[in-house]
Amino acid sequence: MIRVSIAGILCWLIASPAFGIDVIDMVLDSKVASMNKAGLGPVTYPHKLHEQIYKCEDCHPSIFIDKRGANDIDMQKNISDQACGAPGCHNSAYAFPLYFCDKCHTVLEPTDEK
Amino acid sequence: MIHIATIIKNTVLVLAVALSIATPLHAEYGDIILNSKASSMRDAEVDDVLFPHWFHRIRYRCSVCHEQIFKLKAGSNDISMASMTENEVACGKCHNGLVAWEPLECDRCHSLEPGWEPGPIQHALQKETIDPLIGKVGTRTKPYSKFMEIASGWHPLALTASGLPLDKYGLVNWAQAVRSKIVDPLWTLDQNAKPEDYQSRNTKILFKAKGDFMPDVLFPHDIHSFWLQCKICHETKDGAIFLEKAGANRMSMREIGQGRWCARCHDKVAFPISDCQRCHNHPKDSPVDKDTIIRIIEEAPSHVPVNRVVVDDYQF
Repeated sequence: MIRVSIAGILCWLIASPAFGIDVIDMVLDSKVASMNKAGLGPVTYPHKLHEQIYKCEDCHPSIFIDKRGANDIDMQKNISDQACGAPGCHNSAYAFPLYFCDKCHTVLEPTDEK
Repeated sequence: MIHIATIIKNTVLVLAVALSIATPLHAEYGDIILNSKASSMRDAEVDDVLFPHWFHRIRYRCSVCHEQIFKLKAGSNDISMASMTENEVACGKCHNGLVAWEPLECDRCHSLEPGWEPGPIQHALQKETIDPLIGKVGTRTKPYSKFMEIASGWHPLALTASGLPLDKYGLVNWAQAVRSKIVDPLWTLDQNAKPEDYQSRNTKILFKAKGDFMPDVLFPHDIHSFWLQCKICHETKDGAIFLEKAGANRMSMREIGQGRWCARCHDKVAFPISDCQRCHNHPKDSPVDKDTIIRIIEEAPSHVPVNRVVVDDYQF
């Protein structure tokens, strides 16, 4: 319960215009059909959390073009040292590894288990 | 000349001391901390036991000990000095003065300062040193990855001097070491065993990745059956890790990440699963050999979204 309320407060803070935040969390769901096949759902990318750690130019435009929809991110790229898995990011020693699927993806559960 | 030799010896000593101060834990990846009988060990005035997996792995394949002597799960083997010396079980099976030295010098095994959690080494490391990093980003001197941390940390001199090939983290690449014949570990302790008694299997299994973008996994039976015997995976003592039927194992990367399936060995003693491309190595729709077993994919069940990730769940 405490976890949920903290999340609620955080969501409110992040969404609050008083903080002057330009980019809030992004939902990445352009490849949702493929994600569903793997039992996963869309990614909610926490831009705010990354802003706290990195400067804009650390990622833009070298890793990601700073335009929504312009980056064709997929797991193939992530495991090949591109996009989220760029050197120093999630395919390296410096951030959590890619196999923790549910840290980024929503998890789907089967409705009719055979 | 003696003078120079002394200087070199002293330098090595100083370096060794410096290294020992700089690193928190004298253990190699895959080593296992045994201290479930810690209070008894303290009564006997000995330290915890650090089992050097790598040292045994250079000489013996996994199947020599697993699972005839030790079950393939940390914590499931009840090892005690009494049974070891009297009944020649557990370590005493070899450490009896015939195959290996007798357990007379306590410090050889009871070599780890108390204070670590039992189990494979990276779990202990994770509890003690990595946890404070969660919520932050690793740096070059203090990486987030437990594997990189282990690889950049202390190594036994004998291992660093061995020239064994290393993987992307700097951990020993055992498969490469075997393939390039740098090590040739024994597969049995039985003197009368014939080479043809060894069960090996060369077929490959193509695991089709469920998503459209992840490369498939071409599972090599050969290197696994080099280290292990069929029954270790297919007739594991506390329930088969993999049923011996293509398509019968409903694996998922999430469950592997939680320590099931491949992660029963990988991430603990075998190479880390965060090395994605070492398994996901077969581009989608590229040709495979004739005798490759193609893993049947069950139809994707319909899904409903659950436990939507909340913001404070993100950890760096």
